[in-house]
Amino acid sequence: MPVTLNELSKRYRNFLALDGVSLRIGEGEVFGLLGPNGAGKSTLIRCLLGFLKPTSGNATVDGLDCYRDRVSVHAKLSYLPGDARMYRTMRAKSLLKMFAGLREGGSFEAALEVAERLELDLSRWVGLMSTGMRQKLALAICLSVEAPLLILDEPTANLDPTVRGQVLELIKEAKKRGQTVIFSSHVLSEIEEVCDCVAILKSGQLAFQQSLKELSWQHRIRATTDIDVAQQVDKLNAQQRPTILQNDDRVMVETQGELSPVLKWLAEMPLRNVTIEPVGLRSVYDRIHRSQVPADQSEARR
Amino acid sequence: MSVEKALRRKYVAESWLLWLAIAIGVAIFCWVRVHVVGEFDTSQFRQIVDLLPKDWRKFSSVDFDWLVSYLGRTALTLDEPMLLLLICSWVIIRGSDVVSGEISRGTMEMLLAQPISRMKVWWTHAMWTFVGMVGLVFVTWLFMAIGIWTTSVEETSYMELDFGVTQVPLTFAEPVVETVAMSDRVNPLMFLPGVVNLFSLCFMLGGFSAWCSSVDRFRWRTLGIVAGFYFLQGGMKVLAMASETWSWLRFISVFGYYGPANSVEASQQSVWRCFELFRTGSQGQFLPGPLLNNTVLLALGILFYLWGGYIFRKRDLPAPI
Repeated sequence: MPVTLNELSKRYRNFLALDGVSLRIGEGEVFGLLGPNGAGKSTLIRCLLGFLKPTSGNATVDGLDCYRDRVSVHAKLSYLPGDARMYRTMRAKSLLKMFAGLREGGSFEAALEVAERLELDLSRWVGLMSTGMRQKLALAICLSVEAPLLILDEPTANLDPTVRGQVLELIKEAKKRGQTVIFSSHVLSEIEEVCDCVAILKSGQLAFQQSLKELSWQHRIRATTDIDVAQQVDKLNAQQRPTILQNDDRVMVETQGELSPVLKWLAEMPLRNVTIEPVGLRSVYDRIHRSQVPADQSEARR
Repeated sequence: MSVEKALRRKYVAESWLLWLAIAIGVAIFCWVRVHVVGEFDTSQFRQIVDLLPKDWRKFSSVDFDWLVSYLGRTALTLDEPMLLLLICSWVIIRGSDVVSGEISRGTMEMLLAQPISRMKVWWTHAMWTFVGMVGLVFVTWLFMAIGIWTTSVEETSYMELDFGVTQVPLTFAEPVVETVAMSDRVNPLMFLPGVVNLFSLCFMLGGFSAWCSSVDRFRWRTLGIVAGFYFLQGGMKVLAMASETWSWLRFISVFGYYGPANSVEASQQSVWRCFELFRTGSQGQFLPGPLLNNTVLLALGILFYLWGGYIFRKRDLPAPI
C-alpha cells in the first residue's frame, strides 16, 4: 500500500503547519514519524486521512487522493488517533461491536481477540475507564482491522511498559502480514525497534528521512589530534568521504556507509583518545532540533 | 451489520434516554393541560374575556371568542412555552450534536476514520433527529387526544323561554349542570393541522441547529447560539404583536410562522382553509396562512440541512482540544 506525499502544504490562516513535504512510503514498510510537538506530524496524518484539505500539493494512498477519495482511502486504512476519545455512554464491548459494524467486513471477533491480548475489561463503561484503558480500547478497534495501511498516532502514549511491549509486538505482526504502518511517536527507542524508515519533521518541513538500516551504518568517531584532518580527506575517494567537524584539537568524523576504508584512513593519522559509536536516532534527532530554523523558512511560517 | 444500521444504532443508543425523558414530559404535560381545560366551564371564561380591554386582542392571532371554546383552549396547548421548550430541546440538542458535538467530545476522528462518507453521517443523524421529532409530535397529539377521551366537562345552562325568533334564558331559575364527555365537544383530529405546524417549527429549528453545528467546533457555543436565536425570534414575535410599528417583524421571525391555534381555527371552518397562503387576523391584520407557515418553516429547515451538509463535507476537521 504505497503512500505518497507530493509537496504537501497546509496553512491555517497565517500559520504554515506543513511546508512542502514530499515523502514516499513503500508497501509493507513500517514508517516512523518523529518530531517535537507542533512539528506537523498530526497535521500530516490528518491530511492523509482527508480530515484537512491541503493548501497545496497532495497526498495519495495506493494512488487515491486522500482528500477527494477519502472514503475509498479509509477503506484501505485503520487509524488510531493520538488522543483517542470514545463514546463515554457506551460499554466497551458495545463500542467494539459498533466499530466492527461501521466497516464492511469488520470483525467483532478479531476486536475481542486484540482486546483480550491487551487484557482489557470489556464490561466497563467507557466513561469510567482510565486514559490508558481507553487507549487500549482504541488500539483494539484499530489493530483488529486487517486494512493494508495502519496509521498510528502515538499508539503507546499512556500505556504501561508491559502493554507498550504488546503494542510493539502487534505492530511487528502487522508488518509480517504485509501491512504498511505509519507510526508517529516521541519515543525514539520504539521507532528504532519497529520501524524500517524514519522521517523527522521540524517546523512543518521534512528535516530528515532515512532507512534505519542505512542509519545503522553510520558511525561517529571522536578523537584528539594536532593536525587538520580535513586536509587529509583527499586520500579517500569521493564516495567514502566522511563529514568532518574539527574544533582545535578535537575532531568528530561521521561516516555514512562502510566503516573500514575510513578506519584505514584514520589509522594513518596521529590520533589520540579515539572512540567509535553508532550515530543512532537520538543523535540525529538532537542534531536536527538543536539547529536553527533557516531565516527564509521561519519568515514563511509567520 | 450494514454501516447504516451500525450508525443508526449508535445514534439511537446515545439519545434514546433523552427522547424518552422528553416524551414522558410531553405526554404528562399534554394530558394534564387538556384535563385542566375540562376543569373549568367555558361559559365562565366568556364573561371574563368580555371584560378584557380591546387592545389585548392584538396579542392573539385568533378570535377571542373562539379561544374560550373548549377547542380553542385545548388548541392553545400547542402554543404553551413549556411544550415548545420540551420538543425544541430534542431538536436543538440532537441538531447541535452532529458536528460540533462530535468534535467537542473528540469522537469525530474515530468515526470519520472509518470508511463512511461525511454525508452518510450527516443524513443518518438528521434522519434519527427527524424520526424522534415525528415521534414527539405524535406523542403530543396522542396525549392531547387521550386527555380529551378521558376528560368530562360540566356545562351550566338555564332553562330558556322560546319566543320563536329568540330564546331568553331564565337566569333566576336554578341552573342546570350537565356532565358531558369532552370528546363530544372536541374532536382530536381537529388538532392535526396545529400539530403539523408544530412539526414544521421543530424541523426548522433542527435544521438551524445542525447548520450551526456544521460550522462550529464547540458544542456549548452551538447550543448558546441556537438558544439565543430561539429567544430572539420569540421576542421579535411578541414585539410584532404588541406594536403596529414593529408588526413587520412577524414576517422575519420564525415564530411569526408558528400559529397552531390559527391552523386549528381554520380547519374548523373548512379543511380547505388549511391550504390558504394568507389570511386576515382577528383585528383585520394581514397574516400568513397555515400553508405559508408550514411552507416557510419546512423550506428553511431543508435549506439549513442542505447548507450545513455542504459545509460539513468541505470543512477541515480540527484535532480535538
